[in-house]
Amino acid sequence: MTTPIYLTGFEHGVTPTSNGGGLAAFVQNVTIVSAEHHTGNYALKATPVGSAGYIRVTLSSAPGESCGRIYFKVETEPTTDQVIYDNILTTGGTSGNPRLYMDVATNTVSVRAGSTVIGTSSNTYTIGEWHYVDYCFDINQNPWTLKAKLDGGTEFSGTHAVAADTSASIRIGLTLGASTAVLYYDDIVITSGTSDYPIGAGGTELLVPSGSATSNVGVNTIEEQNGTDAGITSYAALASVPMGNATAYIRQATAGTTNYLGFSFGNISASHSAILGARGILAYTSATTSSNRGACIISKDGFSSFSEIWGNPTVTTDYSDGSTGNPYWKTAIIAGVVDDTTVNALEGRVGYSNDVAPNPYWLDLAVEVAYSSATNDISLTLVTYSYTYPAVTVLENIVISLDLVSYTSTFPSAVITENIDIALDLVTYTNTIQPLTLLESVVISLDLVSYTNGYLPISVLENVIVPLDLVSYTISYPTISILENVIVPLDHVIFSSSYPTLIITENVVISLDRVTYSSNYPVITISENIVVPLDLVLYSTTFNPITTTDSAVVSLDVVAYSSTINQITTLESIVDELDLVTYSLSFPQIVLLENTVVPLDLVNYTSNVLDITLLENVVISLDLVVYSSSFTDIDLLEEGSIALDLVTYSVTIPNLTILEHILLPLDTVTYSTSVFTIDLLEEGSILLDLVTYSSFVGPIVITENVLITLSLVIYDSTINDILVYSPDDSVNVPISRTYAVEKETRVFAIEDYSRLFTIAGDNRTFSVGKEDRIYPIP
Amino acid sequence: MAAFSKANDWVVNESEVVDLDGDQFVVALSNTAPTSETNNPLTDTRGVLANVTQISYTNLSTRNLTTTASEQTGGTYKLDFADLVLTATGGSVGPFRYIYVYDDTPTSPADPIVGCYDLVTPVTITDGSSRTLKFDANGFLNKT
Repeated sequence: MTTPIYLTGFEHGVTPTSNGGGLAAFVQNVTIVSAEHHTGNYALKATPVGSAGYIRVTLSSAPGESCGRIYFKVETEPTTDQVIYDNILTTGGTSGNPRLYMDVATNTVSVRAGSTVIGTSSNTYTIGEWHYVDYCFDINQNPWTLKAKLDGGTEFSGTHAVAADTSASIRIGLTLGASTAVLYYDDIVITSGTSDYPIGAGGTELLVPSGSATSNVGVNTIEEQNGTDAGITSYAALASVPMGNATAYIRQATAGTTNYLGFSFGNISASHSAILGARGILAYTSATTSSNRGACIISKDGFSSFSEIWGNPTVTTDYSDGSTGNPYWKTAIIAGVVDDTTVNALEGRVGYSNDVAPNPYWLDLAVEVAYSSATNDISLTLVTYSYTYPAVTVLENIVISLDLVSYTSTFPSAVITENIDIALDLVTYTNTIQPLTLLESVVISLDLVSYTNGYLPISVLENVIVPLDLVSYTISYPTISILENVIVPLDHVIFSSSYPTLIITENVVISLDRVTYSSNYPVITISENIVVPLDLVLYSTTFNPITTTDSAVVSLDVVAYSSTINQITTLESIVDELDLVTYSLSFPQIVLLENTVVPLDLVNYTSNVLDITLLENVVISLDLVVYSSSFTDIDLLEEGSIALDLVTYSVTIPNLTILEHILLPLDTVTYSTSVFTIDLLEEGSILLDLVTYSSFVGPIVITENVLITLSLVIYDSTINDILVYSPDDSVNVPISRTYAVEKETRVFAIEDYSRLFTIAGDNRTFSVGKEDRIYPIP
Repeated sequence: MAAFSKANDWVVNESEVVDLDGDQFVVALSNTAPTSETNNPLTDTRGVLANVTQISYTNLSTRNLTTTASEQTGGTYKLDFADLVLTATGGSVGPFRYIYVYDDTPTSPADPIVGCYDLVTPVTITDGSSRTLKFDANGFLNKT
């Protein structure tokens, strides 16, 4: 294709002005719009209200042959046929111009000489749609040949006998005076000659400065509008669209004919089949309107050659036109832009001023690239669509039964949430499940939960009355927490494997009927805060510390310990009964404390007990104390009213002290083994009814400080000394005692002489007369 | 590049009556905007060729599309056709602005439409010349 002599897509984005002549030589009743455009972002809108609406453009040459392509869109048809485009004859006058008409009666386009119809399109235009007209005006001879095509359709043409002529300018718009019509124009390309006809479909793309290039900005020479020396990003000051932005521009502040700012333009992106040509557009002004100098050039080959937009490095031009609020415009076709390579190699340079008084301003510089898409290819976009599947939520708000859930694969998280009465009949997990949370907020029964694989934390939480009928764990669990907050019976909990920590906590009235532990447990804590009966606790293996704490009324019915227990503390703070405590093994230390009325009914010791302390602070009855093993020290202390009914000592007791401070009856004291020293001390009114000694008794001291009645003292063993003292001579001590002494030598009577002592056994009879002595009768 | 608008009915026809791999797809040409049709073929229950005002196909070469790919990769399905060359012989064809793609195989409904390309500028194929319908490098249709 030959180099165009004019092209535009109106991509500068401003209503054409005659300032500088770059955009138009004449402008009337047109505006730039962005809402309507064929390609790019802008189109020209012609609204011939009151008068014709068009722009006149002076061509860079005045050809006698020209062809072109014009896109138009009819928004509102005129009432009569209208010129939509024409060439102005060099010879002057417009009445005979070669023209394109819109024929409103048929919606066709005609090519005319003046108003004479030369040819009419067979196809039609549609209001509201873009169409293009290819035309060829050969007026270089007589007759003229005028031809055109609408949208690439059948050519309409003819000849017109009139003198040869040329066209120096064109008019784009509705040129026949006032009209109600509204037309849009876009993507215009005009070439000289006829060989390019028909140019065909296409468009226009605007390229703006997009990167830095070789520059020589100097110091305080080529500057941005604020006086900053131009740098590698200063090209952006020239890239505004709509063009003519006065807030960002390049200026030259110091003369320097070798100083300039260089930059590259963006690459073409529009789909196209051929490049038709390119046009540079410059918006410029100066600080004042006094004359100055400057240049603006664009090259397609690294400045081996260049096209001058306004001034060149060698011959600069005057930039002192207009103002920042009223810029001037220059445009020029860029030579040699014929393909993508030359388009994408475009670079610009501004500067070169040798007169900066005033400073020349380059406001914006851009390139319009006209392209053709009139090939055999129709490019079709990809059809894409997708099917989406939102999240599936299975909600059951009402009574739902989940009969069987089987999982054969690994589930990182499984949450089964049921808000209402829901029965989980069977949940079988055959694989490892890491966190497994079964939440039941309401009355839910967990009938059977079987876990055959390892589970890390398992939490079984029941907030309401929930019975856990059977929980079987066959594998090790690091932590198992069974929490029951309300009245929950734990009927049966079986643990067959080792558990490092096992906590069974019951906060309310909870009955632990049976807890069986068959393996070693380092720590087992059973805590019951309220009235909780511990019916049976069996420990079959070794336990380190075992603490059984009952804070309230707690009855410990049976505590059987079959293994060695280092430390056993049984504390009862309130009325507690220790009914039966059986110890079958050695206990280094056993403390039985009863602070209140606590009867010790039976204490059976079958093994060696080093220290046994039975402390009773209140009225305590020691009904039976049987000692079957050796005791080194036994202290029986009774501070209150204590009845010692029966004390049986079957082993050797080195020291036995029975102290009674108050009215204490010593009904029966039987000693069946050797007693070295027996002290019977009664400080108050004490009755010694029967004292039977069946073993050897060393010294026996019977001391009565008050009224003491010694009813019967039978000694059937050897007694070395028997001392019966009654210090108060005023006490009337009845004499009814019988002393049977086998090997005794002396008996001292401590009562007055009126008593008769009869000693059975060796048949010795003692009689006491007035003396205070009894003599054995051989 | 011509933009595409999918017919609403296509999603149900594709699921119920269409064999993407085996059916014969065809292009139809029109110079009437879908919104200007008596029954807009892109709207609900109207997605069939009978609702399209077609141009005359006298002088036009075949409009049948040739399937070259029906496959999925990474969960994305691709249906691709060979580029179609439309040649006018013995006269011009057009103008046409809209290119419909439809499935010629189903009978109920008959000729369900996939959708419509809008060329914006009407095209006329003059006698002896051709237009090539070039499908995207990624195929005619992708579905996920």
